[in-house]
Amino acid sequence: MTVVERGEIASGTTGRNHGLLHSGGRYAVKDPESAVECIEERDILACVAPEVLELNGGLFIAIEEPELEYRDRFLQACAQCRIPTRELSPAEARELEPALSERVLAAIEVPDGVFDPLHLCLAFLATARANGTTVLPYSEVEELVVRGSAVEGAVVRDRRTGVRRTIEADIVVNATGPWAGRIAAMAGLDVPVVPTAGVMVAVAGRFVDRVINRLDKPSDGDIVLPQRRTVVIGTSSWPVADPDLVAIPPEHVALMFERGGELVPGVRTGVTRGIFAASRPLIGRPDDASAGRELSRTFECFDHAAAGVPGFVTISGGKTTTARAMAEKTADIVCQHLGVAAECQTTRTPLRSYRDFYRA
Amino acid sequence: MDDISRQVAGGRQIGLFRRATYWLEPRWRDPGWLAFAMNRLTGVIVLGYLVAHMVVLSQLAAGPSGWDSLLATFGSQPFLVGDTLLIGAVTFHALSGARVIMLTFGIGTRHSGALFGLVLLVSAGLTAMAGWAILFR
Amino acid sequence: MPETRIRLRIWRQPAGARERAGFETLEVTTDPQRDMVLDLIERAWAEVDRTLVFRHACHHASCGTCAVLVDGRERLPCVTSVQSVWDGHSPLTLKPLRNATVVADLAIEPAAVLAAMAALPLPYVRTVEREVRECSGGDGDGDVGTAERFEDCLECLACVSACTVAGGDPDYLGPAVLAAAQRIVEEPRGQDVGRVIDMVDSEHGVWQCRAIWACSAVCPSNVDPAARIMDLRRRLLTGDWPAAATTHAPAGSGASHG
Repeated sequence: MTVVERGEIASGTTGRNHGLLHSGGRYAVKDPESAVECIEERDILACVAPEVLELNGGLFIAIEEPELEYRDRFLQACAQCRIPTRELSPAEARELEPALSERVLAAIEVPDGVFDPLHLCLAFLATARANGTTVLPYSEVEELVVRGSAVEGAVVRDRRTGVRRTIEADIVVNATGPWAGRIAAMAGLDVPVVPTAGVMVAVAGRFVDRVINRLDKPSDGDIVLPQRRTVVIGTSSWPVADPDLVAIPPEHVALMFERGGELVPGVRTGVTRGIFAASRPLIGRPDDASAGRELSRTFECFDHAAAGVPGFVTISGGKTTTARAMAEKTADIVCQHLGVAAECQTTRTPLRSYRDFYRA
Repeated sequence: MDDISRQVAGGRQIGLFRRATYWLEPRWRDPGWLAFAMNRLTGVIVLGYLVAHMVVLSQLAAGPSGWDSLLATFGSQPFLVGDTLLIGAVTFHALSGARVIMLTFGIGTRHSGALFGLVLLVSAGLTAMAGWAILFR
Repeated sequence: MPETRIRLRIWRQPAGARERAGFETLEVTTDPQRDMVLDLIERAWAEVDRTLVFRHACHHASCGTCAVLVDGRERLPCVTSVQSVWDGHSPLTLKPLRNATVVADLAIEPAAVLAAMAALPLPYVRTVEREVRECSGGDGDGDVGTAERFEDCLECLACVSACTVAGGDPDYLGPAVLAAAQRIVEEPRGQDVGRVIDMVDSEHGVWQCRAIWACSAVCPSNVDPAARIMDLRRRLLTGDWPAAATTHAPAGSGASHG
């Protein structure tokens, strides 16, 4: 097993997300499939990788009257998705998180959490390495080896040395997120993945310990969460052609401050620590993408053998919270092709320490 | 050597020359480096002076005439300037040392740069006063 | 602020080979008020030279991978705005961290120090008294209880780079490891404190520090390693450290998984 990564681990989209370990509340109403995935994976990760998680919970808060109507649908949907909720009075919410807006009208507690993306990825890869996987960072796939119609490997350039080599493989898994289309095209395939960027802003000061969500259907700037001594406000959404370099629209940045400030007023006057953007891989077609956010946040595994290109599987979509589930589905398909009948153990195998990744 | 030291070293090797001179690599933006390097330099100077002083004192054994002519040399302008510089080195080293002791005991740790500035100022002032007294009085 | 051109004087070191190392100047467009230095590096890679190798992940100072020398000083370029370091006309010099093995160009290999951190081991999560009040401007001082929080240390190795002593003594444990050790002594979370004390009480441990304070000056994450090293010295001299842990380690303490 070899994992090939173009840069440092998590230098793509996964590293740059805000680090929200979803309880699924965000998706319960409009995208219950995603929501169920989230709460299941959240519980699994809390069990196998507590070392890289802050499990302080999250709050969904209503700021405006119309949002109160959403509350009942929210509670119902969460119950259906088996996401534990606890309703708090505005006063209780503000006691737990004094930095919240005074205009809190309703608050619901959910089991959200925070991870820092790099270390979660390293923990997974450390475990993979311990199980015999080779990880090649700073290695870029330049071509896929296609013989006949089958994919049988990849030509990889080590960017550190400039040396190219061919890695033969029984199956090549394309897990490149928003770049999935680019890699699939190397095999003449077309996958419905739309790179969809989002802006995030980090403000100095740990205003909250919990994840603060807006109690409403998903919208721009409706999350404020802590990352060490900063809070990160996210996010927005617009399709991009090239995930390699995303130009950050200043109006999106202003929107983050405005919307984030409605949840946690202190961020309006805080010192900006960072402004960054990452491209999510949304499953869908560019023509669906005008709605941006409306595309499902679930993941999908494409077994290209069905399209006449054996030896090639694409996994895309999803979010970091559900990474393990994505890997499980992909591994199931790969095992099927390879005739391996093994049982999934990742739901209960504790991950190794992220520092073990760098062990010789 | 400990396992953990070996791990940190990670196989890095440093030659003898670098081991002796690494501390001279300038970090002009870093008051901490300047304080450390000046402390070492003045320490070396003071040690060198101590040895020279012993050598000079041993000349007492040569008798009064030899000693008197030696002292006459030491009273000349160039040597008096040298004395002033020496006072500068000793004063700086003492005050800088006091700063390190303070920092080691957790006093003034948030102002390590400002403390260094103070050390420089006071040393310069005292040295100037001593120099004036030696050279012009 | 209007966009302008900036010259980046970037260290290139293909395959980490010292013989072929040297500076190369690449020019990119920048809005000094909006851009962070990391944006410039990324732009240089995307638009000018795709062979440029650099480390980055989170872009908001939670991973520590992007640490480099900007004009000779250790910084996290992801949270360093261009206007805070650029005079508007001179080239901006970027070099990899000191006292580390260079993988290529600006990227370093953190394995050595991280292996030492793992040997301690420093748990990644701590339990703190809620510090939320410091930013909230909230009223009342009821007890808001405790919360989980990641350790401040990003393991970015800026402190190790800044440390003059680490430059001369490769066996010196260094500010990152020593500060981590102090954190364990301060908040054991089920770790064997006596063992950690033994590890740092050595000539290449706390006693090698020369109180230069460069580490604390460059730390981008409020660790203050220098003060922690001095605290360890005080503890070693007075015998002040917790006895063998009898308390149950809280979840997320990072107890070894085998």
